[in-house]
Amino acid sequence: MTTNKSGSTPHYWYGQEAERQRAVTVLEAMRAYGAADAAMQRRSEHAMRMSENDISALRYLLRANERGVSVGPKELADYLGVQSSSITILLDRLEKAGHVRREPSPFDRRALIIVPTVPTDELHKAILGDIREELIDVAGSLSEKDAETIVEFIDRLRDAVDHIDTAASSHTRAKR
Amino acid sequence: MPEQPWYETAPASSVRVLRSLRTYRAAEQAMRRRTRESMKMGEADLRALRFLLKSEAEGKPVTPNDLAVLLGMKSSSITIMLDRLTASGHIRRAPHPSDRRSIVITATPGADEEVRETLGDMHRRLLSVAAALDEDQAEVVTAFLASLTASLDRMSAAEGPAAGHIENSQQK
Repeated sequence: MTTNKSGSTPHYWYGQEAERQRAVTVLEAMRAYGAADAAMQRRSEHAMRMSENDISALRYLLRANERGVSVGPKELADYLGVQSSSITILLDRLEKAGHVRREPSPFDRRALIIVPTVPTDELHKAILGDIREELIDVAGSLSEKDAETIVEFIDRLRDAVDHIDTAASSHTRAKR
Repeated sequence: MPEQPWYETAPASSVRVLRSLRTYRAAEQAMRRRTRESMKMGEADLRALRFLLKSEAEGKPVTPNDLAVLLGMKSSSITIMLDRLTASGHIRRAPHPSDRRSIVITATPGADEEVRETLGDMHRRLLSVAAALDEDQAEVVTAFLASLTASLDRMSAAEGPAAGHIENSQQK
């Protein structure tokens, strides 16, 4: 800790710098968690675990569905950052698992839309089903208030991360 | 499934925390792939580039060996990567100022701009989300993430080495 003896005026920049440093520390903790999680993920690949890709795909489809918007394979591939050949494989798998259905687009019969057939709470269960016990214990030791703080923070981070792809469309989408 | 799943019996707040985390990770990975797609780069390329920019800002020279350590790659693979990034105009090789047998790698201004454009906005958004936490909240979040990380690391250590270690070789 540095002390300031240069007078009674608080050093504004110092407060700002401390705040920035705090934010960086939080993000660094998030990064370290991400790295540890990724390492664990590679280990559990053989295990029955829903892939992050599947989660993202279903989340995207469910959100679009809630807004009454239909999504084609190309849009989904763009969101996931995968090639169209990979999206076909992913959709084949999700369709086989009964999570989605491909349908002809009502506007263009040559185009396909992807309809999620898994309800949101089913997805939630799928996400939760394969979480390791040790992590459940760590989360279980949180007070309700702290848990709330964490959820709010992480959801806001998630929106910030999701922002890129929605930025273009939501800026031009003047009407709701 | 005869047993009741944990999330039926666990406190609702802890269920929400773990669900949020998992969803966040999924969104983050999608974002990373989008970035790589838009820059036409592999994960390792992008990480090398970010490391170069960070080191440059800190005034630290980077050698091919530094990159090999960072990425957990063999020096022969690093050479191939550097050849590729040189050809694409993202990096430059220069003689090392103090070690004549070594070279230093720097990112080109063009690469700097490209990375900034793609990742800069997002990093700013993430920072502003984190900066909105007060001191106590930041402490709660950081401590929680640290104990999750410690648990994961313990589990990893207990289960032996994994297949690859691209994303996790960054600790040093």
